[in-house]
Amino acid sequence: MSCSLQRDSLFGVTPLGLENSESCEKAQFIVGYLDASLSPKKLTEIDEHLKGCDICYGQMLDSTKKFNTIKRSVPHCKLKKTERDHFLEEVSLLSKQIYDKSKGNQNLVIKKQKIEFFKKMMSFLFSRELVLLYIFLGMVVSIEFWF
Amino acid sequence: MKGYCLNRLIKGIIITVKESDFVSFFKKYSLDLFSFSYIYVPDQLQAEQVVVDSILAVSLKEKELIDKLVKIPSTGFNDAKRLNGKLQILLYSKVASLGKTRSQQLNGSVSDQSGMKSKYSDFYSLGLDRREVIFLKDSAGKSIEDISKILGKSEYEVMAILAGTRDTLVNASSHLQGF
Ligand SMILES: [Zn+2]
Repeated sequence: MSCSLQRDSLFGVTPLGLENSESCEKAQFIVGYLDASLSPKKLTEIDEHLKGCDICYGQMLDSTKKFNTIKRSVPHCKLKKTERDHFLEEVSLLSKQIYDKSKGNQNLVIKKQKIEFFKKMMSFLFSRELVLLYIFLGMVVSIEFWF
Repeated sequence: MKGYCLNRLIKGIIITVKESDFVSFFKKYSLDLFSFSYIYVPDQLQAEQVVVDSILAVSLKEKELIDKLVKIPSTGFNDAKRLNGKLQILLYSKVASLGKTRSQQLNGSVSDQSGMKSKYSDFYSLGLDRREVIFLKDSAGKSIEDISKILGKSEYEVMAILAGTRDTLVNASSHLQGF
């Protein structure tokens, strides 16, 4: 009975990061090791530790069994080929529409930016300083032409 | 040519994601989203509809994100990865909320034509909040951080639900198998 309680509590409290085994402090990381929620550094550390610790190795085997039980209990519904093809076709059409709409929006944005750019260029080319410069250059050219 | 140069002048170098890549993204995740949707509504057509509605809803609500994904500046490929991740979470999140609503509307009146409900009776006897957490972690392989974002729960809450649900499923199974 105590064995069963210990086994169950390991699964229950480990993800919360609480101590679950008095025998080895590393045992609390076994569930994280199995469900890939440890950092790569910790993963390597536990990997090494498992080679030399019978308690943790035993816990790992026990937890692996439980994970397999859970995997069998949780459905991952898959469609049959024809149904899958039909569904993917529907998703494909929908995402094409989303893509086209987004591209259409962007073309509109680029068009607006072109107009803005053109306006800025025009206001720069016909700014007061530049107009005065054109007049001055025109005068210089015509003076050179006449004399 | 003139227009092309002007575009480059205004916007810098622009790389547009190919339509096929964009479509592939949705196709790739739609099957996983379907499996997720099925935990709320164990009916093929209903579950498919939840996924399609979710994609549509996210695309309408997250126009800016979609636009960024369609057009990625040449310097932003890491950005693309980040945006893909963000879109994935938004899609899962939408499936979760629409799935729950649809489940409440149907109020358990879904027929078990596929036999999934009876095959996975322990799982389907769990509440929706426990089903979604255990599915996302132990079937879809999501991280606690992602699950927390998808379901709008704190990481601590997710871990507590996960631990309790794992225990429930293991105990239910051990009663049946007698170990
Ligand atoms: Zn140990």
